[in-house]
Amino acid sequence: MLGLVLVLLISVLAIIGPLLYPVDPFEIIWAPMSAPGTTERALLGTDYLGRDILAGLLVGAKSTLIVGLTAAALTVIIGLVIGALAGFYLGMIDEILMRVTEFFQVLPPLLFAMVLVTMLSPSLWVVAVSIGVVSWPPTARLARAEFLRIRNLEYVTASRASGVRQGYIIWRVILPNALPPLIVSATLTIGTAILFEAGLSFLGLSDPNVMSWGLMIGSGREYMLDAWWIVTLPGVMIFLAVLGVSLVGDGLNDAFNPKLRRR
Amino acid sequence: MSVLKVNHLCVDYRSRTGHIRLVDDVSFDIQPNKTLAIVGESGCGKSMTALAMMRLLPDGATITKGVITLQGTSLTGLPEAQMRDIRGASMSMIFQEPMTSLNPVFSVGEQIAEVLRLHTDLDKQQVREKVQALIRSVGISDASQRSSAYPHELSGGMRQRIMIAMALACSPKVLIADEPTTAVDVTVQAQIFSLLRDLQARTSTAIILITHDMGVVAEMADDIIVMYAGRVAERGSVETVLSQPAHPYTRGLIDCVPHLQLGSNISLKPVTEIPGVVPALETIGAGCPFVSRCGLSEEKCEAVMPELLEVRPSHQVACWNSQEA
Repeated sequence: MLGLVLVLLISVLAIIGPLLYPVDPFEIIWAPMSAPGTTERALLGTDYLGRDILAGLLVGAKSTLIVGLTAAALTVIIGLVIGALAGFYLGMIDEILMRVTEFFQVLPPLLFAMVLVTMLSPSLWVVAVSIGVVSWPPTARLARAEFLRIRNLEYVTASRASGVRQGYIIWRVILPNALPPLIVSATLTIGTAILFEAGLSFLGLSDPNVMSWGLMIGSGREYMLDAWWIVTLPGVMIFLAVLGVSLVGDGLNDAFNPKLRRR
Repeated sequence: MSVLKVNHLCVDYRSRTGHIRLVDDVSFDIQPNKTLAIVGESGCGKSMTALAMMRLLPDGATITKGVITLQGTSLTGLPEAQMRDIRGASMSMIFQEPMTSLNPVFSVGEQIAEVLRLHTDLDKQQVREKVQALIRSVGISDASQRSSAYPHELSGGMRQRIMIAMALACSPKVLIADEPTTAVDVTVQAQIFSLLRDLQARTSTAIILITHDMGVVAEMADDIIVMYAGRVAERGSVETVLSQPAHPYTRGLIDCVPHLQLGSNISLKPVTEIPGVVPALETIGAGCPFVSRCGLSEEKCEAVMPELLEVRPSHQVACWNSQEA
């Protein structure tokens, strides 16, 4: 419940926040490094350039969520396709796809994402895609395991016995039954992707023209000791967002698992 | 005129450790409106024979010899695409576990409709009507309600009826029923069998009934094949085989069935068991596979596999001692 409330709150903030509080987060509006509550012009204070932190948090919510959702969607799509094909066809296809998966798994994800972002100029979409490209292997393994489990169940054989095509068996018979754990893992991936984006921004590898929480932390890190609010406030937002998404994931897991439902 | 002919079917399983013959030289044919029972213990190759006919053998198992002919078409060499058109249309199958053989995420009506959409050109409305008619035909009364139910909302017997409705949706020529009642109550079992008999009388479908229960055979079948370790031990019409079983294994299976004799005093005939278990297929030597469990075994049985020979018209046995039987 708490998770759902947090996620909804942040989504609402991201959508209507900038409308209710139309301040450009890049505009210098007050003296730099004003503490929260010291001025009416900026309720949550200003950063090292005198930009409004509240405006940054509100506008940043949108880009943070976009990166999280895009990366998670990409993770699920790549992971599902590879895992489904490997787990269904087995044999050579499985061998090849799993070796490819392992190749991606042994690369340190943060370094790999950094390389991708550096090569492709840091824009919001490049960051989202890079995160997706480095985080699909666990999803692929999960999807493969589910397909392996389900492909030999009796209703799959029964389906075959009624003469359906292989594509139908993969997408309409096995996939809907394999979805619950994948949905949970996708939800948790959103949280990981948000953290990832923050990490990349902290290292200076994010779009400097798009306000995000990671960018706020990254650019304000040198002033951490003089003005705690510059990094702490976006940090708290990231914490709440990831917590919310993880709680929703756990909740879905319990809801999908009939043994845990009556607790 | 037989609808389905199986000639010298062999199914082999290849693994890294070697290969095993799961089904060895099995032949039979079946006429429309008749029921053939394939009987044997677990692991005797009866389910593999059924899956081979549908060309749905599990990974590693292949048909290595023999011909399966359905209405004049050989199924063994048929491309997969054409085989798909046959499955569920001219030949369909119902499975042992009604609890697990329906897809849990679709309503049962949807699952029956899918078979119709796949094999017929009916439009939406016609499919809907046909689904209702099929559900009614398997003895479920409130068809419109039941068709939107999900498998977990139905009882085991109900689900098996749905499976039968699905299997019969396109009026198949041959219906393979792989132990259709092992997982349901005795009372439901009786209902399912009377349903199958009714439907057979209406559609003249040939039924291949796979079972280990001689009681079921006596009730349902016209002909019987007794399988042991992948081979045919005995075959013939049900009356002859059950009244004059010639193979010691067949006699053993018949004696395993508890008999409840209702007379002036209710008595229970003692049930005799067959000692031992089915041997692992890789350990079978040149002789008769039943030799280790047979009460009549002699030297010859160990050394040479007996051939399937006629003891009387349309009654064949593979046993050296069948004459004494």
